[in-house]
Amino acid sequence: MPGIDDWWTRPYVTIQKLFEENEGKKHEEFIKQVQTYYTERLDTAALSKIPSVNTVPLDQLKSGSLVKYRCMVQDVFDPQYCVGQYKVTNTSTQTTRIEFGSFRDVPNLSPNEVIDFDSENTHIERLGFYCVPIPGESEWVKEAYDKKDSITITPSTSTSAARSKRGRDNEDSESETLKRTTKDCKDSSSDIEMACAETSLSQDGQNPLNKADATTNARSIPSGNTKVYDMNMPLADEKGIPCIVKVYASDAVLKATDAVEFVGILSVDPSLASIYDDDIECDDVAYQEELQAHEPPPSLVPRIHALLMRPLQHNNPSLPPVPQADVYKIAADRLMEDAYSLRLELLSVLGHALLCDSLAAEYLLCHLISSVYARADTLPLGKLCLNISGCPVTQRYTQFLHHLISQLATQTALLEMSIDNMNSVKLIPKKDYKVNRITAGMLQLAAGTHLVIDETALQQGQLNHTGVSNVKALADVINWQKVDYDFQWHPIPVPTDIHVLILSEGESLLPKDIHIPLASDGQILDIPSHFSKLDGRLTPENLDKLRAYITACRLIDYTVSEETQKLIQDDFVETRQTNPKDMTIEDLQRLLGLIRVLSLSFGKGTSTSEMWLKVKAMEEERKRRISQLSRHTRATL
Amino acid sequence: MAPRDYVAEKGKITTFLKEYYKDADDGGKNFVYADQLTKVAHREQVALTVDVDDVADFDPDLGESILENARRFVHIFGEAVQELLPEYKTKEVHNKDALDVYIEHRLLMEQRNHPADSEATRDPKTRYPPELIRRFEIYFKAPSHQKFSSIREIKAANIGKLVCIKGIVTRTTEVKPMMVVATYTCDTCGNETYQPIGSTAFMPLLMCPSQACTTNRSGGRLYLQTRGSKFVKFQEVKVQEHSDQVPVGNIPRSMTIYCRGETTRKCQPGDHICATGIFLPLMRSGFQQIAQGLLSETFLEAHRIVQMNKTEDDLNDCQELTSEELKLVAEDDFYDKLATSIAPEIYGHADVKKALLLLLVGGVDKSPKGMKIRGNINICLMGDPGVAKSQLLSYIDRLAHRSQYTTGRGSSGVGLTASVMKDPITGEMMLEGGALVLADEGVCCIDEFDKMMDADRTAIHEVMEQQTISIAKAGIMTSLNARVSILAAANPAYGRYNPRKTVEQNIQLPAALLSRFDLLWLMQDKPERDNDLRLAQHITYVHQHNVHPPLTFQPLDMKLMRRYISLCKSKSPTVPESLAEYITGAYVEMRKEARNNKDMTFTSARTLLAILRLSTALARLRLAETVEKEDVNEAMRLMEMSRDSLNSIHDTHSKSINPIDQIYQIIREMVPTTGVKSLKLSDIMELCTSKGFKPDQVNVCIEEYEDLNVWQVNSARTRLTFL
Repeated sequence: MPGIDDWWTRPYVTIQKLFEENEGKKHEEFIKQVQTYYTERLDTAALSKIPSVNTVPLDQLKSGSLVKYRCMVQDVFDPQYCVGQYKVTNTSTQTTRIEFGSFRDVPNLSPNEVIDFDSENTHIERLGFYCVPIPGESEWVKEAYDKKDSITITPSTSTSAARSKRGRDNEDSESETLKRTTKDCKDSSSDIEMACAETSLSQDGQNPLNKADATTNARSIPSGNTKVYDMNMPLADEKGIPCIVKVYASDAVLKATDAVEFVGILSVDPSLASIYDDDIECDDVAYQEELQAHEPPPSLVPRIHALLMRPLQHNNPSLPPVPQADVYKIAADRLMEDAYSLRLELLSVLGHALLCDSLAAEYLLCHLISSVYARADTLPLGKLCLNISGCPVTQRYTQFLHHLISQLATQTALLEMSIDNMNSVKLIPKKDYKVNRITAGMLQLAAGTHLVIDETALQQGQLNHTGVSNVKALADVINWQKVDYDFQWHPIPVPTDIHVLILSEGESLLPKDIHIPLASDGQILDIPSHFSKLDGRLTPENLDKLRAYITACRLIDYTVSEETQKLIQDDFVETRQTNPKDMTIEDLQRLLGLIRVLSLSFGKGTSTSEMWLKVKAMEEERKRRISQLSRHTRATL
Repeated sequence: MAPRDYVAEKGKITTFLKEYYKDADDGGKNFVYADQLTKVAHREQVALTVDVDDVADFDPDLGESILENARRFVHIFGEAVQELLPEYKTKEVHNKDALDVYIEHRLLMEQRNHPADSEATRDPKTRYPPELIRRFEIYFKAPSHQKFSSIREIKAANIGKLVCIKGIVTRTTEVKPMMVVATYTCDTCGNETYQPIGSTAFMPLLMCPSQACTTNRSGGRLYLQTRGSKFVKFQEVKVQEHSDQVPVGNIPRSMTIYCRGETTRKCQPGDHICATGIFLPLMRSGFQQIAQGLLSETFLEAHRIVQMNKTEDDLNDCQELTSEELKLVAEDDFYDKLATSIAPEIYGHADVKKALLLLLVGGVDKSPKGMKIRGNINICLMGDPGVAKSQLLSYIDRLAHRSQYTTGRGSSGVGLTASVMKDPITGEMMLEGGALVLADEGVCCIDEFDKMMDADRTAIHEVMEQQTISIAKAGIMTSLNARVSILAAANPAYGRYNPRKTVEQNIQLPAALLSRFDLLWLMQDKPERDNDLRLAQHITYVHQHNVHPPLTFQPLDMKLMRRYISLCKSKSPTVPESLAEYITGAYVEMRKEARNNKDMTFTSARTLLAILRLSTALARLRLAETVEKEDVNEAMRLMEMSRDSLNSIHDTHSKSINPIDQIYQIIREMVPTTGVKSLKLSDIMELCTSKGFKPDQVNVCIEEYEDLNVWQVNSARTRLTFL
């Protein structure tokens, strides 16, 4: 391979070069240098060439190679301290060299080399993040990202295509040998030397134990089925690989549930699993447990040493990733030209799904576009929790609806609110002090996730303690968009942006911003076939546009013009003069929230007086429906 | 940096220990450390705590270097003290334990075997390591100007330095003995070998290094002598950041503290502690080093662990106010400014905020002749849903030094008061405090006060007046302190406040409980043009700019407010003789007024106490030592305003409501006390018309209360059912 590609095929070599160039400088500068070096090289095209841990199976990735990873931060570990640089002495030749200590787990040693720990070394800090694939990420998002990666490789210039292809082949064959060796290790310890050589671990002569350890290692993991490592996924049925991402930049601000894309060096060194050896002498069982929780076997939870990170503002592969970039603006502008027609199309799809209720479809559309855009102190702005009551209880209607939403939105989750489920499911993340990490709860979701709560599953019954606290947690999310993580001695509130849609039979027992009863005419009896009619309309191209439309609408900057503002204020005061019950503070808040999303749905960044009238009309219609319904139920009592 | 001359430093330290003194109260000199050294020499004291403040006072450079390189200075101090001790020994010390006897024997033997002149030829391995004989421990106390950092702020740059952290203990191990010096004897020559141990693990010595064995090549084996080895107590403690130190949305971090000797057993899980110690890296040795590669763990070597109890809660916050801040404080409208700075994002409610400010400051506790009169002010906020009651509560919860936020229907089990729990492992009975106990000397915010469970409600009676909680459960009979101010928020019983009812009926709380609140505020959602407009402007502004509109004033910083409030709390103003008469006069006036007017509230002796409390709180707020007439007037004004908030609506409606109210009363009385609470509409109509009401009035009444969800009428409009 030519040296030009070293930076992504053999990042350690490149970084070592950078390290030597920056010798004597401060550690922070070195890290910054690495960052700038990689930022320069990783444009969109280059980025898509890097294999993603999300899609490429782990056994096809080489330890020490550059990877990217799209994930959500689940837990933040305590900072670790490691040596910034270390001196390696070769015992046979007596030569020494200095290596950098960052971006790796295991020192880079050849046989006969030892580390001189007593040499002057600096301590540097690094942060560990336990990351999981974005929970509830829709199938189409995964597929599209995967496709995007493979597409961008082919249509680029022929030479680079060929080159990258060869690169891939090389990698494949290499990883295949690796795979074979590891497999052999599992079967017998015959080929263990090979594995050791590959991982540059063996320190024969220095530590004869080591080899044997590696052997037991490879054996003990598959046989150690008694202790299944809990992957800590917020959603139980989630697949994918969690990773521990180590970040070296001291200015990294990452919080729990942040969605991020990392580019970094993969590290799956089997020696990391050595703590699982039974023969390791350990005085403290509790310590051991904690260590195991923080250092899971790398075959299950690989480590990534982040070189670059980029918070994901949206997770829609059909739009350019950074909304501030010009590429995005052009794409969004082009899309928004068709905003009206797209909006109509989406409305009719939603209307069909909501059993031909066009008003409910309007609200659902608003709900899909809504997002918490800001917080004034503790008050989240922009949330729009929708409760659609009167849903059919039979024929898995809620599942169908959830499926439709998952086809449109990037992340969704479905919570069946049955008594059993509420009493048993873990909604709130809880700190496990025994192993010092946060046990994931279902409400640990990345911003922008749609949570569909199926209240039609609720029957009469007794809620136990867990159930009550779960209901409270849901209410907290809906009212304040926060989840109180359970830290045993005190709760730690973590702000979220989860869009909650409650499907219920009657009015939901949970709080909600908007309650709308479904006005179905009772004509539609066969729900599965009713939904199957949609399939014809939702062609891939069509769906792609709608998905992009929803994401793009959400990201439009929004302002209220002075005159609209004045109009709204005056209207509020007037209405209250005549009848205060018609316009409470909550009503005004709701109207302001609605007018925002409604304007956005037309692709507009400002609201006009027509919007205000439309919103008011919608609300009036809805209120009429509710009062009609309550009168109706009262009459039947 | 030039290498330090540690010998010179040691000399300095010796002089410091010998000569440092503080001026004693009686004018003499108080040799702080020399006195302690005497005690240490006589084995009456184990820990010698060196206050870095004192060292800095003696030599600023030395103080600085201790902070920078604490571990080294522990050793230097140890050596210095060791050398000084014989000088301070004035009397013979009794041997306290086996190790004392052991050390004495060794010392005697040393004198016999190795007279002073032959010292040079001795094998250093067989010398007594100073750690073996040393029976004292050196600890540093961080200088008072050093701030308590959160765990988050401790970075790689702090390694090796003396740091102070605050946190909550999440785990403690048992106290175990840890070997400091291992003593071996040789099976051939009988010589003793000592091995000081500095890390967590050590490699036992095998071969005898003594002169006799090495020259004879006898290959003597060494055996570990537990009796002769020295152990210290050792405990590992995990601390985690306080919730208030965690930036929004972040996960709290934790840290390991290693406690040795006297610093062990200072805390238990759940305690809030501040710890001073040296932040050190821990290199694992042997196999683990390879496994962990380039990592090193870190820990805090504890030097001082203080449980943060109520008095020492937040050392930082008690700092003196700076001159700039004092200038702010001295401004005329400071009272208003402080009040408006409470929850600045909530518009209006100026008087409520003033009352809340007084609640935070609190009145003065009095205990004449053993009787305790509380100084804490209790406030109850009532009002329609959605008038920012809960927001006010949560703001106070954040602002108050110590506070608990709970709802009446809050956590089960422990609840508000306290409960007796059985430890599942040991089977011991334990008393666990509820929110009220935990908020001792603070504020307990109780939302949904009206929905509280009966058991808790009875306990609250005691808390609100006697400020204690008595427990008589499972053989435990005790009385816990609960010196709390209660800030309650209650929703009206019928969803909306019904101005035609008394407070008790609206909140459905007994008068005995309500009278314990010094102030009752009714916050209503009333249509009013100006207010509405401002409200609308506010809300639209928030929605447009994502922040609360700029206030016409700069709200005070929460930290400053906290500090100011704690400063206020240190004052205890008294009511001068001259004012007593004025207050009693005013009280008599109020009683008279209350008797004449048909009032919704009550004026009792408790009202008088409330006025006193409020006025002392106001005086405290001015940082004054005596209560002035203005304070009393302002206190009375607040009382008046709170009463007005309950009564005003009453006046506006009094003309028109009578018939409907009366009809409601009639219907209420008709309801059978047992069985289904339903009535025939025809019966109602009959009775009402017989009492002289018009049928349409009856219908209006029925509809109005139906809207309030008091009752339901069936669709055929024949039956009325109470909900």
